[in-house]
Amino acid sequence: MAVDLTRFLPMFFQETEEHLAAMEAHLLRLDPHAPDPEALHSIFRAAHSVKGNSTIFGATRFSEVMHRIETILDHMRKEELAPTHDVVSVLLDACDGVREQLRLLKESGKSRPEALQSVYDRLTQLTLNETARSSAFGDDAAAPTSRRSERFRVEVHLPSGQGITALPLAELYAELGAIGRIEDFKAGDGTGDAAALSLVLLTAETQDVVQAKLAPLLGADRVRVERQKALPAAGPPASDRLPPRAPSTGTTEYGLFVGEQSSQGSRTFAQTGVFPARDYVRRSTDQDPGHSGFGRRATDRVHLDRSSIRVDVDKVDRLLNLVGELVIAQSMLAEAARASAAGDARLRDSVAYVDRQTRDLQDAVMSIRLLPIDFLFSRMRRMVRDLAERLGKEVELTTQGGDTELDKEIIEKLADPLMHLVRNALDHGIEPPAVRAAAGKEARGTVQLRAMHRGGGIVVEISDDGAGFDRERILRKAQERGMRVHTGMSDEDAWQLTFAPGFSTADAVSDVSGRGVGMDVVKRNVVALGGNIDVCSRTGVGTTITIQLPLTLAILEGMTVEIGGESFIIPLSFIAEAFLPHGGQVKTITSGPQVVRVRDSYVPLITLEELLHIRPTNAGAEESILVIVEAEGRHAALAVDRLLGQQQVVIKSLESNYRKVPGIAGATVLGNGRVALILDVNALMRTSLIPIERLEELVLEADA
Amino acid sequence: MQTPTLSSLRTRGVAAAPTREFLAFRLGAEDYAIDILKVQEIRVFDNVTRLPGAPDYIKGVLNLRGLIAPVLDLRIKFGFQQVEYGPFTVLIVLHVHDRLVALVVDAVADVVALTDDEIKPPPEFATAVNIEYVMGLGARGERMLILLDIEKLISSQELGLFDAEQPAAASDPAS
Repeated sequence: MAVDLTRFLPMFFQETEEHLAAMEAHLLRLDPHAPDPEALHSIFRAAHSVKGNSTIFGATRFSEVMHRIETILDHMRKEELAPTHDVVSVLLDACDGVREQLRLLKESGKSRPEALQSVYDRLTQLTLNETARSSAFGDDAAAPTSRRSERFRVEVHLPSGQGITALPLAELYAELGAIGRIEDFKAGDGTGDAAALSLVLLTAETQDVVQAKLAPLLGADRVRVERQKALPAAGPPASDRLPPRAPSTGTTEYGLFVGEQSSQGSRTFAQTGVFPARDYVRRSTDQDPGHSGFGRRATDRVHLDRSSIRVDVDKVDRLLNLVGELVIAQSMLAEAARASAAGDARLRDSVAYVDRQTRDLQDAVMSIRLLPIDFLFSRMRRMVRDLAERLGKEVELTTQGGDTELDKEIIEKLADPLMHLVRNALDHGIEPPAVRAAAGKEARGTVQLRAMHRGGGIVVEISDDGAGFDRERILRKAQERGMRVHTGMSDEDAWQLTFAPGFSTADAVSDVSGRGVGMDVVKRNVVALGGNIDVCSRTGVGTTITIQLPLTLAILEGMTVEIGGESFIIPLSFIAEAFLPHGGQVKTITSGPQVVRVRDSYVPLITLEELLHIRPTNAGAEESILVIVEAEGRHAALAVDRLLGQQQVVIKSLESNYRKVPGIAGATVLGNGRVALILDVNALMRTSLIPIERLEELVLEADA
Repeated sequence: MQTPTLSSLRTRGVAAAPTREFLAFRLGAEDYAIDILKVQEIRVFDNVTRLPGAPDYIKGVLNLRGLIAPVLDLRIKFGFQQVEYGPFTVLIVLHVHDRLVALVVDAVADVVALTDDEIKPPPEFATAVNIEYVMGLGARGERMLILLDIEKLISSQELGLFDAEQPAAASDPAS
């Protein structure tokens, strides 16, 4: 029975993805002329963790590639190789290649490791070039021959009934991995005399050293280490040779990178044409005991850097649900306390205290779902780099406020719109260097991503110092598409035209953007997140696109209103104002719809009775309270019976147990335990509003 | 997650080996029963929020410890003449297809254990319920029990409790 590693696979996938992302992020920030040593360390650590993990899971091709990367980084660290654009590109491609294989492996359980061959060759090429150029990097053949390594059989016996899970396997791997390589790992089923665990270790160390390494970890009496006869055909002899004990000619000791073998893997690879099964070797550590736990320490450090734990989102949502219930229970308690003991100060104080604590708890739980937006920003960095290259433009991406936190779900759903906007900025905004120079601008364009808190929400800005929107062209295109435009319209209105479905100003469709499936989709996505999007552009100076978003999708700031005896929530972000109409403010137009005069304009009245079959208690709109809502640049009035107050509500789905209800965005549970429905203002406006053109006629009629 | 009410009901059921347990309840004058394993809890009919635009047999939605569940009144769906909400009107909360649905019934009667032999095939004559959703007939004393295939009924297109494209309906081979 082998150890069932499969249950650790999801963790492996996730960790490897994170390490790859970290590598990519650091690579993109490397300064070709003066690479930050700390950044190189970080990339190295990530590559090293991937290498180690991959070996455990038998994904030796990944470890091979990572090993090459480590070698290259080692050269960079020693300033033998500069992280030029080309070098970084190869490294990025390597990350992509591994990521792609990882995806295949995850989705289908099969990868095509041979696909990594070309990237491996390119990596190898880099190190070879370097070898040729630099005498500092010794040829393996010239290196002093090392002590031949031997195979030891390590057996661990446990008292019967004790499973292998009781063993510190990770530690074991780290210790043994540091002195040699592990082959033929087997776990017994814990019955009979069979060893609970047996493995073969190929190492240059002596039997005593191996024994000494394992004794403190597993207990001296449980470990048995025996020398094994060298297997005759255990692979090419080259891979059996251990790294030289002394550093190769001229290499100086450099912290973590010392002695990572670089040429060995490549040669085996070149000889056999396939990835050798296991040929990455760690340097013997007797001369520097500090390195013995290297693998483990490096991993620890990566974790410390993030200092986070991985939790299933379902668990967080469950916690959120429970806290939501607690808040409801708390308000019921508060209600009861108010009613029963009006004079009891102690009870009142305790209830107030519990109330405060509950809200703090709710905030804390809510914040678990939040992630820094840098998550998204760093993804853009890669895209900008590739795209600028393809478009022949020089673009620098700067970010600000990357630590601003946003709901995980929003971050995920914001990725596409943001990517589109950045792409637009590069393709349409930033001009080619020559054009920029002619306009007296710096040849290198700048795209800035900014995130900040503003009024209980988050604002994300994408700005570029490019050409800006072309007003004439937008108006012309809009006219061609039969949209209503006039030359006197304000810039803001003109920019809004670009959000119309299918609108594109690109004369030629490039493969980057300009297919006209852009801005309207971006806008729709942002609106679906409960956000808003604005454009500010000046011809020749640049464009800034501002996206306003709620902090989280789980909570909504809402106005509770009563209509026909039921409570409804209107999201506060849609409400412009609310008022009691006075005589003559509500007009009925001959053909049916009612309009409300608000200052100088008329807004249509949405009849909830018709749409939702809710009959307001009040006789007519004249006697109701009118709530003016605004969505998609239009206004409408909703007649409600009463305003009950403003509060934060936890959004719940109707669909999880029922189905989508038209005009209803979701539900929430009120303080009294009852369900209240959240009105979908966008949908209500869409389904009920008369087209703008028609409205204008109606208003003329009303004025008459 | 049974409420005390349910567990006390259940202890009265006979625990013979090859039997299945059904929760018997009344709709108007008729006795029905459903597989007790589908029942999550029983609670009073209270605090139901009306749903706009829903068919009349959907009484609204209910807060079940933070989850929102629809409330279904089969009496209206089956076209009963008298639909009253009195002190005995209760909600049976069902857990079907990973969803929660509350059923309005006139009264919960008992837990009945029936062996497979005791379950008779569905009748030829008409009941208020479409025969498609009747698993069989059982007896409780002198009275006839109509055993509902509640899973099939709840997920039927006819009730429209689920969005059509959702997988819940997929288990219904007829659809």
